[in-house]
Order: sequence, then structure tokens, then C-alpha cells
Amino acid sequence: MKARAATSFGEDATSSAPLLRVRSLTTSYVGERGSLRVVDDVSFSLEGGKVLSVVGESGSGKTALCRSIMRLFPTSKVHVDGQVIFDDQQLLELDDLEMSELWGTRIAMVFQDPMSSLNPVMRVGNQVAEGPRRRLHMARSAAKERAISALKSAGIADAKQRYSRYPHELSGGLRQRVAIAIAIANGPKLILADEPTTGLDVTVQAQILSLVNQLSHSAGIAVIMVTHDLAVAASASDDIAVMYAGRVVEIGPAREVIGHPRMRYTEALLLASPRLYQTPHARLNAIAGRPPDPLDLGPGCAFSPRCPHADSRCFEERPELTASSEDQRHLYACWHPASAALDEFAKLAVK
Amino acid sequence: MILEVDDLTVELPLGYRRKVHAVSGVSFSLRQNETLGLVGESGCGKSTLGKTIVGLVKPSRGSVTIAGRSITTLKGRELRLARRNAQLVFQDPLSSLNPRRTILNSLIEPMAVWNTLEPDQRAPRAMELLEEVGLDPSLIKGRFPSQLSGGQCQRVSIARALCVSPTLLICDEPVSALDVSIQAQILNLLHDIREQRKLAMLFISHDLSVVHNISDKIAVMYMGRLCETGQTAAVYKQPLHPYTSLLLDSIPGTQLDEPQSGESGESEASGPDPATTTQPLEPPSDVSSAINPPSGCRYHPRCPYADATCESEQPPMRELRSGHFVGCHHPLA
Amino acid sequence: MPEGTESHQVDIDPDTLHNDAHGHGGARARDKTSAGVMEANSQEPGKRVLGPAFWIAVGWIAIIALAAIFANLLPLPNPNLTGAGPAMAGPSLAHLLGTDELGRDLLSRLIFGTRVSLVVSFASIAIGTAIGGSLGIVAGYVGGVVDWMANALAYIILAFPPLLLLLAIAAFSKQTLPKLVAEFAFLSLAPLFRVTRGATLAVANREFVQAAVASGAGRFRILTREILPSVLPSVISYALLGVAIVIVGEGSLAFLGLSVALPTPSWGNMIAEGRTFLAVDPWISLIPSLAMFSLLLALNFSADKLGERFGSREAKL
Repeated sequence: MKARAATSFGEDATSSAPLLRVRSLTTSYVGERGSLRVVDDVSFSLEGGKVLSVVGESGSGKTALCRSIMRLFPTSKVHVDGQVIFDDQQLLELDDLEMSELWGTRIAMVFQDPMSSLNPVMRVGNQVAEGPRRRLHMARSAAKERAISALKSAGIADAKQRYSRYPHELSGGLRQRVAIAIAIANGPKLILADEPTTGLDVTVQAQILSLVNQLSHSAGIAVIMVTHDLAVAASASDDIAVMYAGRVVEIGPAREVIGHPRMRYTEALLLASPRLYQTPHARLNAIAGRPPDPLDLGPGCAFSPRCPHADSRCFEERPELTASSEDQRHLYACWHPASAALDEFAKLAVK
Repeated sequence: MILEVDDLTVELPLGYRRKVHAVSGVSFSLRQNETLGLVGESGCGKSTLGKTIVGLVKPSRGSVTIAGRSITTLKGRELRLARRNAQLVFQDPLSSLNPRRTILNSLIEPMAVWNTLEPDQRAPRAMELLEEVGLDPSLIKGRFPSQLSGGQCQRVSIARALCVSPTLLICDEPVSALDVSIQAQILNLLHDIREQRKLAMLFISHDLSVVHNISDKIAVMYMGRLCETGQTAAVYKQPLHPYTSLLLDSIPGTQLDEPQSGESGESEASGPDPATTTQPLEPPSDVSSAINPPSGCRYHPRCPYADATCESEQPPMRELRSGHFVGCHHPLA
Repeated sequence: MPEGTESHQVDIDPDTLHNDAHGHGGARARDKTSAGVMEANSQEPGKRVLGPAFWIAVGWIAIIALAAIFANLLPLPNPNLTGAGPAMAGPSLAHLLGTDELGRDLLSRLIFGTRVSLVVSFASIAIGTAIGGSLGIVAGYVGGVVDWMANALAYIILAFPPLLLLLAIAAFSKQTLPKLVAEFAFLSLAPLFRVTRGATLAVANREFVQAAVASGAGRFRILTREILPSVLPSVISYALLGVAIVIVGEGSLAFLGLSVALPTPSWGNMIAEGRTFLAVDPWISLIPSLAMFSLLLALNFSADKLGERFGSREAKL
């Protein structure tokens, strides 16, 4: 740990094996009404310097996936199975002490609401410096230097003045930048961001998204970003994973998933949200019904009750992820995949 | 005109001798069967404006007239009568319904307040309304709000607003708490209801894509002032105010979202591209800004075109194209 | 873009027909709170039960209250009848809890003594809640000058040292039951006012209240139909705690001989009387002490449960 302390945020940006490999991750919550799979057999891998967006509606398990990787669940009530291999370490096999050493140093988290994740009675600079002080055992002055450079990297121009402000004195966007500075202060390799821009104004959202990308690419940090907004995911990530009822139903390069969605749910989600190229008052293709009760899933595809293309097979047999014929990295789970390309959406993806 | 707002100013007291300039000199009007989308960032005063129109907040200056009755000068019973014409749909679907009342009783309550129907006809009427908003009355009526999903609660809120047959519906971020797949359902529903009942609708939102879909006209608000109003298509196609342009450019992926053929080269160059820009465009401290709004044009500290005039003089709203108003010294066209 | 009207039907109906009662299709905000998992598994909050322990506690309070109310009908000797049995006898069939130093039946004295404790505590808190509570709800909702004045008054009342006030009154005149009720009611005014006002403030700006205002409901209607039902549970819970406090207060006064005059039994003066015989026969003091203890336990527990139940329901919103 100490050896790492002196280095800057961006060491060894390139490495051969993926930084993070998730294999058959299954998270079950044992509750009063029985066992509930909130994350069901999820596998993916992520390289350093790449941004993966996990998209889904509420209850789809996207937040639970993040927490499972971070091991932020109370073990008494939640069972996590499968493998999470981060930097050649099996995270699920580490004991609590070893895991807590990873938190905040090599894996960091950014939450949705910086107002509640920041300590209201502590100067923001000190909150950023706390990580280097505690985790990397830096001296006070060195930690302060480090905090200021982290604040600068997070796009706060006059970091020295802002250092001694309290969270309530900053705007929402600046607060989220501070939260990001806290996350990067210890030079992590993986950042999990849970809806990092949801409460923010559009103008600020755009800046935060570009900041996340810039940090990821320049410092080689892998980022998993949880969001409900496909447009946000498209504009700010390399890969997109779409989750529904605890499972990843489509995953692949952002441009492929957005521009050529195969899984019917992804397609429906894209068509449901209003877009500027439509004429005003264009009727929206609402998805009928609502997300399923996770305790009451049928044997088939979880989306089948809402899917206009579903037939009896969809209700009875669950589709597995299969690779698209056009791009081997593009996987989808659907018996009746969409074939039409959505060119307007392909343009959404910037990468 | 269903709704006329004239020079409306709301200053909310904030402790000793301080006040928030929530709304400053806002004027607009709204016809029957017309939707005005009011967009702006959080804290720009758009919600306060909505609440002032239904009389929940007292304005410091200016007037609000709903269907010929002035909300701002009337008192007591007359005021309540006028208010009845304007109903509000809130953002948080769950907390806008009384948690201790069944759905049916929540709908009957406004009718009881106004004594609109014979008591025994109120429940059937409530059931009709539930059906109108796409809910199954027999399943829903006995439930409590906590037993419904967000989308269902929002439908009930809409039904409640319709109970007293208003002529104006004010929707304050009605879909921003909902999932994307549910959002579309509610937006379609609101549009249908407006068409069927020939309502005037004020749709308040921070989401420009949503506003684009539902509005005939839009008004862009910045720090308590309107900076641009006009037909939706015209404003989105060619924004005249630098702030509007920034907002549009900030929609995720928007640069590619719309074929920008209609845009002039000047405006193309204008919008600072958020994907590449690193300079902070946010005001230095937006917490205090509505308390001490900048002089002149309130947008000038963030504006790339600001000059001395912008700092000292507040730009008046000018009609640059037919029906397209902008409050800017250096409009983009 | 698909065709308009018929797709509209499809949009809506399945949502409608969906018959499960879970909230997870709803507000996105909830997914982002700490536990996406918990949310998916949470029961409807309205269905949460208070648990058997709560009902046992309430049952115990009810038994005590019923015994006190119908004391005259019970087959008990007059509580003030000396020599109802042998002095300082242990429990027997004739005297279930034994007798005191004057041969009075302890069970009878205990049950009649309950009357004083219960009447004083419940009556004073009822009055305090009625006055303080209504003031609080009005002050909290109306605000402005009304609120300012009511608040100032509450501060003044709170500044009275309660024991000193009670002692002073007792020193000037003989205590009677109505007087005791009035004194405790006065003392309970300010705390109950403040609790109700706080609860009202928390509810008054909620959107469902604003919706009622916007739909044209008058102030009285909003107070009674929107705010009162939301405020009531927490006020009742607090008032139950108040009852327990008054029981202790009355007991303490009685112990000092400043409550109702002897020989009328009350738990406090029974404990005081038994004090002299603690070494010989702790039984005499112990019985009323145990009675008071069990009642307080039941009151506090049920108040707590009520608060928890309705508090958590509020938190869901």
C-alpha cells in the first residue's frame, strides 16, 4: 500500500488481462417471503481505462450488482455466489479486513447524492485528504497536496480556495466533483459510480460525464456506471450492459447496443424515451405493464409479459446470452431478436 | 386565454432581511388546449412559479389571471373558486397522496370540498375518473398509496386533479420520479387528457426531451427570469438565447441527436461543446445566486458573449421572429 | 411511430391489470436508496403488525383500568375499613394480597388506589392533549404571529420548575383530585404543544397537503382531514408517555403526602405508609410499587410500539 502512495493517479494504464472479471455472479437476498435473486448469473469483464454502463429500471438489480462487487452487503442476509476477479484477486474469497483494505484505495465508489455522501460538517478538502491520510498513511501536508491535485483532476479550477469550503457552500455539480475527487484521491483502479449524474442539471451532467470519461481514459481507471438513462449510458461509455429482473439481457459495445439493439427490452426502452428528432406530440411507444415482481418470475424470459413479440417459447424457456453474428462482443438474450438498426440512436454513442 | 401571468414577481423571505428572488417579472399566457413547457435547471424558480399560479405561494408583485378571475387580488371564497380552475400534479407520486386515505376517498375528497355532486354519485364519478387515467377502479379503489407503484400513484394524482374539472392543469415534474418505461405511459396519458378535455397545461420539467415531446410552446427560465419563449419546434431548432443553446447541447448525445442542418454557422460555433470544454460553466456558487442575483442579464456571469451592456442592463424580451421571444442583448441569430 | 389510439390501449391496460401490490415499479428514487434489495422484498407498510407483546401490554392497561372503574362492583371490602382482617397478615383466601398494619385489605386499597393514579394521569393528559395539541396543530399550520405567541407561551410554561409549582400549591391549600388534574394538565400543556406543533410542521408542507390547498379545501378542513390524521398517532404515542410521567409524578407527590388526603388510598401514599414497615413487612410497599412498575412498563412499551409503527410508516414516504 505504501509503495503505491507516492505514485500519481495513472499508473500502468495498459495490462493484458482484464482488470475486472465477473463470473456467474448471483446475489440472493433471504427475506420473509423466501429467497430472492436480485442479481442472477451475471458475467462480464472490464479493462482498465474503459467505462461500462449498467442500465436498468428500478428493481432491475443494477445497484445490487455494484454492491455485490463492492461486497457492501451484510453477509448474514445476502448470499453472493460466483466469482469476482479484480486484479487477479478473488474478491469474494477475501476476508473482511482484506476487503476493507481495497475499499477506497484500489476500488472506490461515487454515490448518487453527494449531499448525503459528503460529511456536512467537514471541510471538503479534508474529506478528500482523509483517504490518503488514513489509507496511504501520508503526512498531513502531503495528503493536502494530494487532495488539491485530486480536486484539480476532478475539474475544480480554484481547488485551493474550495479546499476549505463546506459541502453546503458548493453547488450540486461541484459537490459531485468533490465526491469524484475523494474517489480518485487514492489512485484507484476501479470506480463504481451509482447514478452519478441523476440529481444534477443537464448542463452539469454533461460536464460530469465528460469528466468521468476523461479520468478513466487518462488514468486507466475502469469505471462501472449505474444509470437508468440509456442516453447517458450511450454518450459516456465504451460498453453497455442492460439489466432486467436481475439478469444482464444485453451487453456489448455502446454503439452496437444502442444502434443495433437485439434484445426486445433494450429496443423498447430506446423507443420509449422521447427524442428530439421526433416531432412534438409524437406518440411515445410506452412499454406496457411494469417491471416484474422478482419473487414471481416465470420460467421464461422475464420481459415476456410486457413484450409485444413474445410467443409461447418466450414464456416457457429462458433465453441465454448469445453472441451477435455481426459482432462477437455483442451478446443478447432473446428468442426473437430485433433486426432493424436504429440509426438515430447509433449516433448517440460517441465512441 | 385560460391563463395570463403578468409581470409576476415572487420574493421569498429568508431569515433576517434576506430574500430569495425566486421569480422576477415573468409574463406569459396560455390558451385552451395548449401546453406550455417550462424548462430550467433546479432552483431557477420554475416550481415556485407553478405554485404561485395555483395560489400556494403569494406573489410580491404582478398578477395571475385564470379564466378571467384574478388569483392575486381575490380573497376568501372567491379565491377558492378561482383556484378550482387550476389543479396541480406533483413530482413525487407517493407523497402527493394522503397516506392514510384510500384511493377512492382521496378522489372523493375534492368533490366533497366543492360539493359538486350528490354524495352518492361521488364514488361512481371517482371510479369513472380512475378508468379515464387507465386504472382498474375495482382493483385500485380500496388501496392505500403505499400499496401502489409510482406510475399508479401518478395516475391517481392526475385523476384527483381532474375531479373538479379544471381548465388548467399544472404538472410539476410529473414524470421525473418514474422509470423510463412508465414515463412514456404517463406522458401519453397527459397528452390524451389534454386533448380530450381541451385543457390548458403548464408542464414544468428539467428534462428537455420530455418537454419537447409534450409542449406546443416552451419557456426557458434562468434564475427567476424567462429568457426565451416560443413555439417548441422553433426554439429547439434554432435557440436564440445562449443559455437555451447550452441546455440543448447538454442533453446526452444531443449534438448527434438531431440533424443540425437548419442551424447557422454562427450558432454552431456558439454552443460551448460540453464534451470537450473543461472550464466550469456553473456559476461560482449557485446557492447564494438567487439571493443576490447578478446585475443586468442574470446569465452574464456564465455567458461566453457577455459584455459591459449585459452586466449593467437587463435585456427586455424582444420578439425576434413571429412568436419567438428572447431576452438577450446578443441573441444567436 | 406506431398508430395512435389502439396502441394507447395497450400502453395502459396491462399496468392496470397487474395485481401485485409492490411498490418497486415506482419511484426511481427508491432504487437508489441504500438497499435495492430490501426494496424488492419489502412488505406493504400498512400491513405491519404491532405484535403480540403490544396487545399484552394494552390488555394489562385495560385490566387495570377496568378494575379501577368497576372497583365498587368487585367483591372487595371497603378499602378504608380497618380491621377487615388481622393486621399485617400475609396473603390468604379472604385477603388475596394480605392486610396492612391497620388490618385493611391490601388488594382493595390497591384497586381503589389505582383510581387516583389513573384519573389524575389520564384526565390531566387528556386535557393537556386537547388544549396543547389543538394549539400546536393550529400554530404549526397557521404559523406567523399565532405560532410566535403560542411558542412564547410554551417557553414560559416550560420555565416553571414543576415540582416547586406543585409543592407551592400543596403548601397553600389542601389537594383535591380536580386540583391535581388541573396542575398536571397545566404542566403537560407545553410539551404536548411542542410535539404536536413539530409533527404538524413536518406534515404541513407535504405535497398531499398542498394538493388539498390547491384543490380549494378550507383551512379547517385541511387541519381536520389532512393534517390531524397524520399527526394523531405520534401525538397519542407521546401522550401515553405523558401518562406514565404523571403517574410517577402523582406517586411522588403522594409519597410526600402532598397528593389526595389520607385515608383515600393511592399508590403513592400506600408506598409511603408501608415504608415504616419495610424491615418487617416489605410486602406492603412492594405491592403498589409492583403495580406502578408494571403499568409504567406497559404504557411505555405500547407508546414506543405505536411510535415505531407509525414512525416507520412515515419514513417510507
